[in-house]
Amino acid sequence: MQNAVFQFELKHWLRTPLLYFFLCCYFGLALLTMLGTGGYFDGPISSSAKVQLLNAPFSLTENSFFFAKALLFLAAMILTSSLMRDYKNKMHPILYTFPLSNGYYLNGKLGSGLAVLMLTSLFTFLGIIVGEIFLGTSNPKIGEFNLFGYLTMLGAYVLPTLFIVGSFVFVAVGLTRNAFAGFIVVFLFFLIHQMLQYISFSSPQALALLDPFGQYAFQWTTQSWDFQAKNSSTLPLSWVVVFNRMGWLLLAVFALGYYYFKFNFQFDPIWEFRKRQVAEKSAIAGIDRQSLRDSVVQFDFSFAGKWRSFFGLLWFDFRSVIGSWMFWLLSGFGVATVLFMQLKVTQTGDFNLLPFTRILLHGPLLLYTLILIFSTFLFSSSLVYKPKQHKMDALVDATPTNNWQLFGSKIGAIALVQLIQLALFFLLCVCIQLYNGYSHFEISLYAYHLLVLVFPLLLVWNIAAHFSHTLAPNIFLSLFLLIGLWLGSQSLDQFGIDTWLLKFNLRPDLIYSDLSGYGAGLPGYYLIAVYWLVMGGLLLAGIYLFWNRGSLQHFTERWTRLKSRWSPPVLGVAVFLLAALGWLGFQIHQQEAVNQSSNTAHNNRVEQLKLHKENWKNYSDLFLPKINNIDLQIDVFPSENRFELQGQYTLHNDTDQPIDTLLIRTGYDEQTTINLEGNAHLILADSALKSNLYVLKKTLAPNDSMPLSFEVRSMPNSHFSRNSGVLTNGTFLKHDILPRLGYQFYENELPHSDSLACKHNFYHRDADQVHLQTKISTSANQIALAPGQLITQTKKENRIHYQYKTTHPVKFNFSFHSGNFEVKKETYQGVNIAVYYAKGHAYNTQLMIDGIKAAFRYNTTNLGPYPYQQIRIIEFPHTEGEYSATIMANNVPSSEVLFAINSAAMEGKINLPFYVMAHELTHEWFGNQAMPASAAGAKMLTESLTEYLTLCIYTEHFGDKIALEFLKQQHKRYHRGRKREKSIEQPLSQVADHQQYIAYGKGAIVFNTLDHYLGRQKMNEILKSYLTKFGGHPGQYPTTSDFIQLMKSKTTADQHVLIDELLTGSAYYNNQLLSVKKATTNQLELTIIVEKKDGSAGPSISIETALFEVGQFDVDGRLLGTSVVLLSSGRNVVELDKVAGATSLVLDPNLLWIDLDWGDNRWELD
Amino acid sequence: MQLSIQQISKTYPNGVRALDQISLDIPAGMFGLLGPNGAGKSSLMRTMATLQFPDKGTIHFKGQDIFQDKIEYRKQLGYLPQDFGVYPKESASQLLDYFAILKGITSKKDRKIAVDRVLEITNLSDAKNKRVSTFSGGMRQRFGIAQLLLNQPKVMIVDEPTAGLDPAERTRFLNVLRRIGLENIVIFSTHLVEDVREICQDMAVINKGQLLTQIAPKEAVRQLEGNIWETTLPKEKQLAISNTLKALSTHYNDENELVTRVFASQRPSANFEAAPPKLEDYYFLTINQ
Repeated sequence: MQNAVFQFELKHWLRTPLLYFFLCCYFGLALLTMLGTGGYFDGPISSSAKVQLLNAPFSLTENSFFFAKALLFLAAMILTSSLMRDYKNKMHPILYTFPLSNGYYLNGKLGSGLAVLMLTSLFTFLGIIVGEIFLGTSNPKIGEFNLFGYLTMLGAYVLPTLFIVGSFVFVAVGLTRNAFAGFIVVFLFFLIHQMLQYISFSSPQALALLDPFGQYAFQWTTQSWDFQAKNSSTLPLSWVVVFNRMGWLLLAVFALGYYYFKFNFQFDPIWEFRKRQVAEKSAIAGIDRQSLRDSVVQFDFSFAGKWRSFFGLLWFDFRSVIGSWMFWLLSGFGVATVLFMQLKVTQTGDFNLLPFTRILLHGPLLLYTLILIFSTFLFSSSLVYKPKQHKMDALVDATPTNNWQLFGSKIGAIALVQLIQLALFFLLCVCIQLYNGYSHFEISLYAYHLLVLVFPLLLVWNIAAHFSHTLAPNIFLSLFLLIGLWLGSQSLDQFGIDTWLLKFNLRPDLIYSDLSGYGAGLPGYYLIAVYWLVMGGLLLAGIYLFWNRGSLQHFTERWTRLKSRWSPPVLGVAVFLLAALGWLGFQIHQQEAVNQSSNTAHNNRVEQLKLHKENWKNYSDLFLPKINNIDLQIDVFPSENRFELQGQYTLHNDTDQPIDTLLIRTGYDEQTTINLEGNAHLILADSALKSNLYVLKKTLAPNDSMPLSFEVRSMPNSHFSRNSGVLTNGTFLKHDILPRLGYQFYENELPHSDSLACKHNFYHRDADQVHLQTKISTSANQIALAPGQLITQTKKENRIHYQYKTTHPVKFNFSFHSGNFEVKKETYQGVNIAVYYAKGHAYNTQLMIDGIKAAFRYNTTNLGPYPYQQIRIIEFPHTEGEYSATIMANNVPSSEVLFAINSAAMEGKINLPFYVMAHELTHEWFGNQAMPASAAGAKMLTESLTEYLTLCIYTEHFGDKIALEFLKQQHKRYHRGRKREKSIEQPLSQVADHQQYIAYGKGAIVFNTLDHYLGRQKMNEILKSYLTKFGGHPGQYPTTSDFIQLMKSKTTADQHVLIDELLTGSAYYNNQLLSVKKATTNQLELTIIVEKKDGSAGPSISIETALFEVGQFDVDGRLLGTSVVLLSSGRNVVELDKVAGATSLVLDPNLLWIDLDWGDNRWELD
Repeated sequence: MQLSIQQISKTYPNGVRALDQISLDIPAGMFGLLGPNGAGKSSLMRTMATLQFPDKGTIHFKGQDIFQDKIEYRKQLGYLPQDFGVYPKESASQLLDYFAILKGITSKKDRKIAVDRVLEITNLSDAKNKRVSTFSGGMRQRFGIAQLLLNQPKVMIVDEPTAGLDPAERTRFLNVLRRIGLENIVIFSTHLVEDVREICQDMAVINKGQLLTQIAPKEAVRQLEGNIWETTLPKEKQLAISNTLKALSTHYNDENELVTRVFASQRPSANFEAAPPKLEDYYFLTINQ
């Protein structure tokens, strides 16, 4: 039987022009996104670049989640509209008396809505296909057309998601008979999807299974895919994807079933949050008994009276929003989102932070603001459409209330609701801080951030929402347009539009640091915020002119009304606002134009470097002198965000050739003047790349020296670009402000056989270790710090002057600081340890000092002396580096993030403050004293060794169990990095500069395994020999080959196999403890699968025999004993003596080998 | 005090000419606006309530163009549309308080007095804390009157207020309107002629957007005296009467005979008896012309 409801609804949609508007919108969105991502607007693309194919099944599905999410808002609109149409048009009293079954009626409604949605989604993906055709196969991002990829994406992800969310929308709207319920359901699905990320699941599959969009299931399925697989593999339907999709589809069907069962062709909604109380009919006798007495009330239409009325109306509207279930539901979700997110930040993440105000005002507030913006759209539409929806409009419109009172009170009410929600956020944050035992409440920071920065943004959205509701013919279109504007503005960059003038109500990111505040970006932020506020003012004028009052039938009536409201004051305000907008827009445009080159330099740094490499490569083989002595005078002016520097290098010709040419490159962000005192001619200058070529009048003979003087000034900050490294507090300048010699972009991966490799260190070709003397001054209320020992400190005219000098030659890695610091000091074995930190950041200073002391103890005992008399840890704002800390001579500049680590939530995690400081101090031996050659694998000799030694320090300080946790984290780190690898995995001895997961994660694992088999003493002996041989010998820098050779010289031949496998191979295992059975009373029979793979080539490697450990643990997780078993590739059956009290067995309990899945290496005994 | 409508016309986008050069002078008192469904009554009411602009023509109240200063006019206006709703969660007193603000009563104390007074007049005091959405049809109409009375309007526009009311409610309702109409202009649209006859001092009949007549109901009845005739004829002869005479209406009498009323200056035939004229006869005569 044909479904008449379905046919009627479908015909209705096909006759609706709005549908075609949406089809065009989604088609256009998909097409433009595809073209934008494919670089269609960016000019020709290098075909040699290694890129991810956009039309490979992986990329198609990965990108389809964006489109599926965009389609969900349409789903809310279409399904709500279909279901509500009969109520809206008062057809339901008639239809409900027809002999229709629930299924017939609802199937027609749901089916037609889903059919329209499917049509729109097909148009969307047609847009992608057309984009693919436009880009063509000559585009390196486009591969062969893959129909199966499209079908898998639609069938497994997009269409099921539309059905799942669409069903819940349908049910929610049907049960509540509320037009907003659908939009709220969609938004809640978004929040659930987002919130799942912040929940700490015991199993990674749980996250994948619970995601309503299937996105995390897709990510789980493809988690081990490398670059090649992403471009060529078809998408498998893993069990996680199948269970995820089936589970949610079942839930959707259950929800529909419930609604189908409950639906009863009744007038009233099935769910009502408050039961109706029918008023008893009052007696009507005597209705005219009362005479109409003269009024005793006052009508006040004065100016003040109008404002009193305005606030009365505002309060009425405010009450109606606050009393709505929508408010409580969305606020509840907002609170839950913040709680889950902060839980991840402070308790359950890989590392946890204290709930500093700035931290809560960043991530959690960002998400909360999204909820507030969406709430604003919904609440404002509920207020604007409410009179019409409840047929009160004629009563209200005929009253002597001015238009501005009517719409102004609604805008005011929403603004008040926003303030309440911000206050709720504030209270929530305070509660979170209290819960975490943090009591440094920065009320003024909260107030400023929430009221001055966030509220104006919400206010403009508030006005924009009212403007949209005033102009749009219906509520759904208005919401759709608003959401489109909201999301569209954030995507403009993709289409090459990067001016703030067009990104509606967006502002630059403003990141707060406890040291430097909001920094130099604040004026630019204000400029843009005021620009959008003025735009809000114009929209307000638009609302005034177009506000619907009475019945409007056609455009001419709107025009007549507009003319009747157009008055000289309105004209005056509009002209003023337009002029202000124009002026502000011009200012923004000017700033953007002024900063264009600077922005380009910042944004296209890679391009700049590439250009530099190409333009100056001819000069890469120039013989150059080396910098060996540096004198600096730095004057820092924190309040003016600037510095002035005068310096002098002593250049020494270490080569056996006379030098007549100098290539000098200066800092990108500074103005530098080079003074060669008339000893040279400038023959080639490149101001964009800051490189100059000089010919010396007098050649520099071998072993001769010459001075090089220079002056450096910081560039002034502009509104949108921070050019100066000087901050109001926490200035952190590095050696990159200083001029450098020669071509700076040598490939690090020189082969070990290259004779040049050992001539230069990995870090700098123009310097070995240098002597540095720094005179640094700053404002009197700050402390200035530089490398070396403090020689003098004097105060003159509100400025304080320091003189520092290095007592030993140091690596050309310096930092200069100025800030209002508190200082914590300790002395350990004659060395002064000092932590310079911002007020209120003392939480982790002791842990840092402990890390320094532990590293000091281990390294000085086993490796050699520490050359300085002091070590300083200096805090810098996280805007200058999120997680970094680097040893620079005897200073360890550390990001303020390290000072915010929540030390109370470190169980099972790395003790970051301790670890970082131990790691950095260890670099003094491996990185500073022994610098590796400029050759492939250099980071093994710095980071891997340092990470291994940090593990040794960990073991010594915390014991084996905690050290094992540390090692576990290194395994995780390796696996995480490997998933993101876009090229072939190198062996540790050839590790590339960017392969951190190998240098750190695998490095720690490999050297720990060597330590396990060679012994700690042997390892220390090898490392000490290495330091002795290569430490402090400029021009004889070691490669990893040298290290391996030295290692082999200290070990036996059978150990060489292990050394080679671990350091020069890239094998990993996928082993499994398949089963454990009782062989006899005291014997266990273990079945173990061994699979060894080669990381660089892929296929399995056959092994004849290899030794593996099996550990036996008691119920408390204590290791009772370890047995060594001999295994070969494939299935192995071995027998072991059971240790009394053992409850579980673990293959490789000491985490000696890299295994793809540790989960299957454990067996619980009955 | 007079509401003066001059030559107003209104055509909707779909081509329907809702108002066609209507001119009316409405003095203080009860004014009935009669017309069949779709005649343009509600369009005229909405226009008088400033809720839509006429394409042409003007409306003056106390000599002022109401569209020139709508707010000033609305201060003296009370409007009850034909089909109005209420916010579902608000009680009668809360909603009236809201209307009182909209009507310019800014003092909370005054609003309470005004709300209590209109609740008392409309006998809704006992239900003041109940949600209006739960009111019966009659109570809801009384609530409509209550909101209308809040600003003690001089011009009250009431669009088909008795539709759907039971006889008792209708009587009481009309009594309230009559009481209000003693000193003010009450424009009362209906298609129930009986309502107009009972309470209006003046009335107008409109059809297809045009004003057909403006007359006092008593005068309308008086003009028909001696011209209304009744007959009971078999059904097949009714058609012949319609073709030859001005048949006004038909109805069945107690004997279940079809009674036909006709307009004629002389007795049409022996089968006809003289009948006392009714306002309904005038209405039918007017709209059928």
